[in-house]
Amino acid sequence: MSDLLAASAAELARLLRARKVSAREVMQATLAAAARAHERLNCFVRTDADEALAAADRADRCLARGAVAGPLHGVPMAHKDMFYREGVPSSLGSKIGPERPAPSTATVLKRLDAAGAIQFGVLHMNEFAYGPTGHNDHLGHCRNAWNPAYITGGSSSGSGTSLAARANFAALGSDTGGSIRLPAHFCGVAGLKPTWGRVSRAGAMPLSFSLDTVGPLARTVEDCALMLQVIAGQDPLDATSSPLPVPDYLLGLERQVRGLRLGVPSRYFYDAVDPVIEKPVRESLAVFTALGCQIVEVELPDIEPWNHAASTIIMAEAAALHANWLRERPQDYSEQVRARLELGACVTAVQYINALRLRDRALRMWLDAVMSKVDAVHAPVVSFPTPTIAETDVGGGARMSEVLARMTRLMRPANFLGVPSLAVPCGFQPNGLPCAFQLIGRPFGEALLLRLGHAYQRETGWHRRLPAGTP
Amino acid sequence: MDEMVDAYCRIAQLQGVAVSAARIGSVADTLARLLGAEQAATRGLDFETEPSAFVATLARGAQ
Repeated sequence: MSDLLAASAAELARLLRARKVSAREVMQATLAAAARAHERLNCFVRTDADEALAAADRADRCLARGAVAGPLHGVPMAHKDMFYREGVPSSLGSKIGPERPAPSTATVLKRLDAAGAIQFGVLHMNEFAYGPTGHNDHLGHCRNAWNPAYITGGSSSGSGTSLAARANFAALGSDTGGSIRLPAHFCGVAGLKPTWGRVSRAGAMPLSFSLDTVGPLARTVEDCALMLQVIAGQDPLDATSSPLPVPDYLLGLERQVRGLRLGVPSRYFYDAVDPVIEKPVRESLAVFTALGCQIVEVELPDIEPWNHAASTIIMAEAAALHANWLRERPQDYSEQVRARLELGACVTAVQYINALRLRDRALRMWLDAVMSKVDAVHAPVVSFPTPTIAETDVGGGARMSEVLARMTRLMRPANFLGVPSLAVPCGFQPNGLPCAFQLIGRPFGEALLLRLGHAYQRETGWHRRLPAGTP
Repeated sequence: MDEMVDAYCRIAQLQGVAVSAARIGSVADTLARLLGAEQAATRGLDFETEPSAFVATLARGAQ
């Protein structure tokens, strides 16, 4: 059974379709692994064993008569606790969320249901997805499967660490300022922040509607492609979802990467990067070179102002969304989230609108100066060794801004530009914690990023390593 | 700086948000830093630029 838990979602889906394993036995093993992982890592908010086992039995009965719901038939999944199911409260990692039954089911959940996936629980997250570390004063802090003293990254903290612990086969996350890619890096799994508008946000908790994206975290890049294939595409319930056609991501995975140009930024992404991060990230370039990619140094525009503008947008939109609760029940927020929302309440309308106005020019500069020269930009996810939970437990105090800004510095540009970014594990730091690189592409260029990431994973085994103690 | 702190405090109060005295100084510092960076970055923006232009550029950028 431990071999089964080590399988990727794609491998498991194939085994289920071939009826080499039953959905019930997979679900039983997953629920047992989830209970063990939660005890050590505090990664689940809730599991729904009875419903999940009943759904697994239905999936087995369908398979017995040759009916396959879709590419994820019978695959167990748990998601960040911010994707709504009608009538069921989502914690949103908060004290307030559990009081609110959800008004409707999230489009991404409906699409995963239709593809045959079975949701067996909901996962830890930073309060209202407003934090990059995995700390949570209401739920307790989430812990890294590679070493429970260390952070998981956030805000999709439970998504990252449950996958690393092999207690989940794939998870939805959200990324407004790095919340998919940071846990992917810190926990050693793959994570894709899609283009803004590629995946419907309907029924997903908003944090900053101009920047929010919904995407997969998974054990492999192939699994990310499988998940994106199911969840991507226009949705009448989300006016910002794009009408552009969804390509066949899975078919595209097997295409060659020879001749593709990878850009290595000459500035910003490598400013003050610690050698323990720089070494594995730069070594991953050698794999791409061996695959026939061209490595090209690229001069980036001045990105720092984009980072500031992204902060302004998040702060203002989050403060607007939370205005009523912040006024009526401020005591129900943790110190850090409350401090950040108070900050947002002081952003002026002019400041906010100008930050939004800057996006178009920034994206044009990115396309002209960078994407005209390369097919994807290759860069670190963070610039520093993974910190412990204690080191980053700064609450709303004086160090808060500095710690949060450092954590998200290499993340925010892709959110501000609206472009896709894929985090792929590429080795380990001397402290035994994983490390990833990110590939940043052109708008709606997920297929190419997935192709590059998958080609890298075919040549390397980092994604197959398991944390000590994993069954 | 004290005037800035008072102004931000008042803006928050008008919205029914009470920023703690311990935090208001850092709120003012952070906002002043962001505002400075943003004013520098948006100085050269075309007068006609609207936020909605971004979505069109995003779609065009797929090509």
